[in-house]
This record gives sequence, structure tokens and C-alpha cells, in this order.
Amino acid sequence: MPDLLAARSQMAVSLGFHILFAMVGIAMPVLMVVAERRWQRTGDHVYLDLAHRWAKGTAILFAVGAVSGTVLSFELGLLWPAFMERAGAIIGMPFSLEGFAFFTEAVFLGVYLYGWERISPRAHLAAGCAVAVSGMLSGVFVVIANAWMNAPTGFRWVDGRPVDVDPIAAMMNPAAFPQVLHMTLAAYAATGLVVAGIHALPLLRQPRNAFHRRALSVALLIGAPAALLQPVSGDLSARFVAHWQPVKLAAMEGHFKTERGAPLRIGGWPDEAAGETRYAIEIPYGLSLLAFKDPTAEVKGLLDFPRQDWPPVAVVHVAFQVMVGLGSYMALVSAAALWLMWRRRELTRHRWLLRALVLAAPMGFICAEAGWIVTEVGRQPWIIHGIMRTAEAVTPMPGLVVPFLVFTGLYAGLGVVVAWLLHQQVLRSPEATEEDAA
Amino acid sequence: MTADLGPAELVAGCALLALTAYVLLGGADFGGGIWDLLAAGPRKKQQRALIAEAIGPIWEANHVWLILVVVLLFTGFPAAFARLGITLHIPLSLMLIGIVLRGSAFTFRSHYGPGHGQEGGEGGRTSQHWGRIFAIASAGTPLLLGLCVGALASGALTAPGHAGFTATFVAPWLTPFGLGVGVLTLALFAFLAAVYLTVEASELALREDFRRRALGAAVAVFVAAFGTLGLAHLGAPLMGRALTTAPWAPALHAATAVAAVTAIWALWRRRYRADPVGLGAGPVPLPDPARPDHPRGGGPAHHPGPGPLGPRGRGARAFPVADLSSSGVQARADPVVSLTVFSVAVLFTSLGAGVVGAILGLGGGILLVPILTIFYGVDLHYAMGASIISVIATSSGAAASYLRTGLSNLRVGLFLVVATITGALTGAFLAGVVPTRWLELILGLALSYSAFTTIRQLGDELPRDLSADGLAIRFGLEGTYHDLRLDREIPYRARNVAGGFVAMYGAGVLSGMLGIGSGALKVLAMDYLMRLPMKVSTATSNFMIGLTAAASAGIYFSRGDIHVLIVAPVAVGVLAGAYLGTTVMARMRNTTVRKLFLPIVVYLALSMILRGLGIHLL
Repeated sequence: MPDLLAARSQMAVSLGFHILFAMVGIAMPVLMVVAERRWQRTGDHVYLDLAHRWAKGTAILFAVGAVSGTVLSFELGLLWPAFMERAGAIIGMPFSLEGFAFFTEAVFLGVYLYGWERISPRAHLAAGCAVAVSGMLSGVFVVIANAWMNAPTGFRWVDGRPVDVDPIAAMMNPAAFPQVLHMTLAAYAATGLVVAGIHALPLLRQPRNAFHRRALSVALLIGAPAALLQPVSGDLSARFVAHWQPVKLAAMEGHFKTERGAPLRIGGWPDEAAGETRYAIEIPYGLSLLAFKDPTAEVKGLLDFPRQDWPPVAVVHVAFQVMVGLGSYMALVSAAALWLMWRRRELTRHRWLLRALVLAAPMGFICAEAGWIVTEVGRQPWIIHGIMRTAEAVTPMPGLVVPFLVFTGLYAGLGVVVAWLLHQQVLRSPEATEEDAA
Repeated sequence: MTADLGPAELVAGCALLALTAYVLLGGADFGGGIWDLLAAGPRKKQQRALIAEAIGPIWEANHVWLILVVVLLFTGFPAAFARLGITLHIPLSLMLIGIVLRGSAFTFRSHYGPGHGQEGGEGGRTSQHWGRIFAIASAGTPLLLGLCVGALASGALTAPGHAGFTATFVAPWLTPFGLGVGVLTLALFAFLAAVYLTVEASELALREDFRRRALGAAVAVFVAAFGTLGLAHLGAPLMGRALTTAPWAPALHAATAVAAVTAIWALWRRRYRADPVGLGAGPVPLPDPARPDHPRGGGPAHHPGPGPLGPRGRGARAFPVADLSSSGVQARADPVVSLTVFSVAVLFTSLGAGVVGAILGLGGGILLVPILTIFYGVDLHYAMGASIISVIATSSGAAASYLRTGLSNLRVGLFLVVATITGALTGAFLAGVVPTRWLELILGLALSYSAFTTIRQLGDELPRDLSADGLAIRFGLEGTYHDLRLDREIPYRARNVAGGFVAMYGAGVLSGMLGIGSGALKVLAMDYLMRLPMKVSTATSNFMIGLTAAASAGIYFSRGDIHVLIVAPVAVGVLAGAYLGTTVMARMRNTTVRKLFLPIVVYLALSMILRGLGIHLL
């Protein structure tokens, strides 16, 4: 395995692992705060039980997220020293802010987890809100730093070095807003729907279980609107990419030949050698319309760009199709669930919806992984879009396949343990029915 | 020299503060893992529970300091950060694995903690496995952190050129100095955690457990700090020089010493609550969010010194060279502080050497000579002279008190002293005839073996086998002493008397030929061969070394190597230290004494092997 590929793989594994826990760390606090608030308002103890259990699950996932995040902050320097040497001063600002947000989150999570009996209910709820807000902010800042790699602004590049660095302008880069919006919504949608799916499964067998019914309603309250809004934010992101990273857009769509009135391709397999995407369903004018709001707009194809500036087209295209496909399914299921809730229907009577929610459970996380593949692999061969190539940034350290395999093994092991622990926790959920709870 | 305080210094200062905060706050968490690993005694379970409870709410938040260091480094010093990322790739990666493992293992374990114990045996065992991983990763990570900081301080992180893999990616950080900083970090973290846990413990017995551990760790910190400072002169010359001769050094070391003494005094006197005066020197603690009434790091928990890992105070307590050139004591050209400061410094050092010497039966010379020569710039001859006086002083101070408590056995001592002196005479006669390098190698290997066996019997409080030995009965080499720790009379009897006598003769020969102190060899022979209780061994050794030292003192005195300016504070300090040491030792466990003795044996073994290979540490 070449060192560059090993370094990229290690970074991908670390990021792919961390993002799962980071998303839970962003969204789960909101769920537990909502449950706690409902308990305080209604005095229904099932909600308190729910908040306790969710807090416990959050603690496990947050801990793994915290340590894997620490690893990432080091890996930037360990794997990409030349990148950090040039970019460190420019993206240091969002990383520092992220540090403070993370600190706030960790402190208040400690207060929340260990403070149930020590502080007043109101203060406890406030601590929970602080966790939720700072968790979201910490995600926002990290995504801003990543957005800068896609749309580098706030400096002048002179002789391979940045000069006139303006960290604020770098944070205000044009990719920041669409990416931040898309990722934050993704965290709420994925976490909300995975929790909904986990609680929908037992409801299929025992539809009167009060614990799972309440859990489902809170989870859908957070997850479903986010999932519904996600296609809109995705459209915003795609239009940013169309404007700023036309190569990435072309790879996402498997679009090789520049044309006016370009079709939208669904599925298919891009053949880089032949310069065409085979077996795709083509919707005429679709791409031009979506990317530029004009059915006859010209969309540049990959063949108009130098070959050495192409990302791995097949990976990006397939990942993008997976994200869009699964995301659409999540949006549809969420729309159905929200409609039923709005009409005050009993969700548990609609077994098809419960089944659809169980099916949707893992999709948010698959979408997130696929989305990050689109962002990161789609930016290749650049580490800073248009400025610095990934190959120039990698460490001269040889034998990078060793740390790659070690960290992969470590994370695989941790993943299995976490999954098993969560499985255990779900198995232990209470069996009280609606009648008992009342 | 005035430093310009530009933005670079400001950022560096912030990074240093953040690192200090990580070491103080996160260090206590790592230290908690170390004590989890070393949990022992009847309250093993409660100790672990206290550790889990104490670090549970805060360990994640403490990561922020490390992240802050990283961010400040790459924002402020991107080129340096890139260099670090390349040359320290291996230790940093290993450290990350440690951080991941301890964090997740701790969380997984607490998942099975109180409230989830109902699954019964299986959950308990799984929990134990995670506890093990947590503890081991907690102990390994500080070592790696220290290695990295040590590499940074050494100035050896050169540009990755065309040198080989080892030269670029391994050699800069895998150095004796780096290892020293690693061990110092480990000791510091253990000390911090133990102090923190004494404050956190609500149960008296548990608090005593950690008080004892804190005092033990303080000794470890003391030893590691001096060792590291010594290594700094070889491994990080810039740092070593700055720590001994810079104008701010006296103030720094004085502050460190005051903080350390305050902390240890507070532990000793069981003053667990912060007294406002003592807080002044300590860093501002981060309040523990979940329990506002327990200020973290308050009082005795404040760290002895401004920053154990920053480029400045790595906990070393040396004073700069005194202006003694006029009196001809030392030849260094850059006198810095007054005679008074020098005397006070030597006094305190000797106090420490006296304590250690009295406990371990070594006379303190093994510590005093390197400290005087390396840190105070005293000429080796004067240092040796002072060491001889120190040995006599320890012996007089300690032997009297040990004889009273029955810890030292006069018969055993006299019996063995005959062997040693005969051996020493033989050795002096043989010197120059036999090639010493081979002897040094063999002795080094033999000591390594005995270090190994010492490790194996670390846990034995008292010798198990009390069967009779013909010679022991004939010479009456037996006795009883009242063990203050176990609070009962301990009868003991020497075994393998002939072997011990031969070994003592050998020890004498070697010390005569190689010019090394034989105290450590005597203790080893009594403890390992003759199976005397460890405390009896070191107490008896204390008595014996005085006899031999008194003989040599005359020679040194006639040569003019006994300089009153050095010897006066040494004698006073060592006497007081020895008195203190005997009081401490009478209340210690045999196993503790043996644990303290082990590093000395390891050091001797290493230095002998190195000398045999032609490398002289001093």
C-alpha cells in the first residue's frame, strides 16, 4: 500500500469513525433535554426514565467521540504536516473555538450526568441545554474548518506560502454556510431516526409499551423535521459545489461531456477510461435545472478538465447516489410520520410506518458517511482546493500502512464493543404498558 | 538578559499554560489510572471505586487542554508543529492509542459500575478487564507524553533529512533523557492523583491509603526529578544549563521547593484542607463542576512548582553554582548566587539525601555525589569528601536510633563487617592487576539479576522460611524487632550465613577495586541471601557503612578533601535527614522499603554495565 493511500485511508477511517459519535454528541442532548422538559411539565415518570437512559447512552458515545476527536486533531499534524504548516495559521481560529465549545459541552455534560440529585431541576435542564448548544457549536466550527479546504479564502498565496492571513475572512468562506447547515441537519436527522427506529422495533411486538411510545415521539420530533429539511439544504450545497468546485459536481453526477440542458443521472457506473456513465436513468434537463435553476444552463463535464485534477469518479458518484437515495427515503418516511402526528393519529397502529422507521434507522449514518466521502474524496487530488495537492501534504514518514492498520483495528474493536453495549442497554428497556404508566 | 515579549512569546506562554493545565488536571486522571493499577490491600475495591467516582465527571473536559496545546501550536508555530508531527509520529501515535483506550475503557467499565452489577459474575469480570485496560493505558500514556516533551526539550528534532529511518523517526525521542522525563511525568501524575484522592476520600482509612501513596509518590518525584536533571546535562544541554545557571533559576527552584515542602508537610501533618497561605504558589484550580465544595487541586493538591513539563521547571530543585571560586571549592567561572543561598541549598539537598540514605541504608553518598558535582559544580574530590562525612553522619544519626528500636542487629553487622573489610583490603591489593571492565560488566549483570529477583519478591512482607542455619545459631545471628507498622514483635534469624559472608567479602573486593560504595551490595546480600527482613537489612547496613567510612575519612581529611563550607551544611542536613528517615522507616512496610530500594539497584546495574561498555555516567 503506498504511503499516500495509507495516510488517506487512516484519515478516512478516523474521520468516518469519529463522525458517527460526533453526530450523536450533537443531537442526543436535544433528545434528552426534551424528554426531561416533558417530565418536568407533565410529571410523567416514564419521560424521566427516558432522559436517564438516553443520558447514559450519550455518555458512552460522547466519551468515544471525545477521544477519537482528540486523535483527529493530532492526526492532522501526524499525517499532513505540510498542510498544517501552511494552513495552521488560517484555520486555527475555528479549531480554537471548537475547543472552547467542546470544553463547555464536556463540562456541562459532566454536570448533567452527575448532577441529577445535586442541583435544582431548572439548573439541571439548563445544563442540558448548554450541552445541546455547545455540542452543536463544536460541530459547526469543525465543519467551517473543513469548508475552508473546499473554498479557501482569507489569505493570498505567494510562493507556496500564505500571506496576509485573515482568519475571520477564512471562516466566512462561501462553503461554510451550506456545509454547516447540511451537517447539522444531518446530525439531528440521523440521530433522531436511529433512535426512532430502535424504539419502533419493540413497538411492533408490544405496541402498548409506554416507554417506547414516548421515546418514539420525542425522537421523531427532532429527527423527522430535520430529515424533511435535508433535501433543501442538500440543494443549497450542490449549488455551491456547482459554482465553486465544478470538477467535484461533475464527478458526483458522473457527468463527462460538457453540455447545455444536462440530464440528471440516477444510479449508473461511471467508466473513467471510456469517459461515460453507463446504466444510469437519465432525467432530461434535470442537472442543469437543479444546479443552476435553468434547464438550458451549461454544465461542464469532466473531460473539459485536466485528467490530473479529477477525483476518483466512481467512488464519488456512487457515494453521492447512496446519500441522495437513502436521504430521500428518510425524508419520505419523516413526511409520513409528521403528517400522521399532525393529524393526531396513533403511530403504533400503522405497522407499516413502524417497519419503515426500523428500515430507516441506520440510513442516516450511512448517508453521513457517504456524504463525507463525496466531500473529501470529491475534493481530491487537492487537500486545499486549487492550492495544495494532497500528495504534497503527506508526511515523509515511511510505513504508514502500520498505523493505518493499527488504528483501523482499534476502531473496529471499539465499534464492536460500543454496538454490543448499546444493544445490551436497549435489551434492558422497561416493559410497562400505557395502562401501568397512567 | 531581557526577553522580548512579542506575540510569539505570548502564544508560547499560552501553550505552556495549557500544557500545565493538562498536566495538572488531566494528570490527576492519568494518575488515578496508575493507582487503579496499583490498588492493593484490604480496601482494594473501595480504592478503585473512589478513583472512578473522582475522575468520572471531569476526564473528558480535561482533554480540551491537550487540544488547546495542539491548536495553539499549529496556529502560532505551524512550521514547528509540522516538524513535530513528522519526527514524533511514532510516540504521538502510541500516545493517541493510549488516550483512546483509557478513555473508552473507563467509560465501558463505569457502564458496568454500581447500579449495573446485577448481571452478576460475568458483568463483574468484564468490568475488571476494562479496568485493567484503563489502568495500563493510563500508566503508559504519561510515559509517552513525557518522551515527547523530553524530545522537544532536547533540541534533537532536526529536519527530516536523508538520514535513515531510525535517525529521523526514532533516535530523536528514544533517549535516556526522554525516558527520564517520561518517568518523571509518571511519578508526578501519580503524586497529583494520590493527593487529589486524599482530598476526595471521605472515609478515613481510604484517605490514609492515598496519603501513604502520595508520600511514596513524592519520593519517586524527588528521585525522578534529580535523575532527569542529571540526564538533562547530557541529553538536553541547553535546558540543563538554563536550569542551573539562568538568573531566574534560583527563584524558580526556591518556589518549587517551597511548594513541594508545603505539599509534603500538609500530607505529613494530615492537613487536607487548603490553607490560604499555601495556595499562593499553586495554580488556580478548575472547580469540579459536580461538587463545588471540593476545589480540585486546592491545598496540598496544588502542584509543587510552576509547571512540571514546561520548558522551564521540570520539577528540578537544583540551585545554581555558588560563588565559592574564591575559596577554591569549585572552578566554574560563572558564579551566580551568594554563599548563604548555596549553603541553604546544600543543607536541603543533604536533608533529602539523609532521609533516603537512612531508609535505604546507603549513607546518602550515592545521591549526594552526583548532585553536588553536576548541579552545584562542586569539584569531585570535595564531593567525595562530603559524601564520606555524609555517610558517617547518616550512620551516626541512624544507627543510634536503629539500635534503640532494635532494627539494626549489632552481631550481624559486626560479623559481616569483618568480611567486608577483608574484602576491601583484598580489592585494593588486586586493583590494577585484574581488568576492571569485565568485572564491571559481570557485576552489572549480577545486579540486574538481583533487581529481577527483588521484583519477584516485592510482595513478601517478611521472610517466609525461618528454619535454622548452623552458623546462625553458633554466632547468634538472630533477633527480634518491634515493627511499628505491623504493631507486633518480629522474630527473625539469618539463613545461608556462609553464603552471605562470602558475598560480603565479594562486595568488599569489588568496592575496593572499583571504588564504588558497597552499601547497596550489603543490603542486597542481607535481604536476598541471608533472608533478613528488609528493614533490618537497611538498618544494619547503616550501622556498618559508618564503620568503614570512619576509616576512610581520615585519609580524605589528610588529603584536604574535606572542605568545611560544604561539609558543614552537609553534616547538619544529613543528620537531620537521617533522624527524619529513621522515624519514617520504622513505620514503613518492608515491601515499601524494598520498592524504594529497587531503583537504586537498577541504577547501579545500569551504570556498571555502561561503565563496562566504556560509558561513564559521571
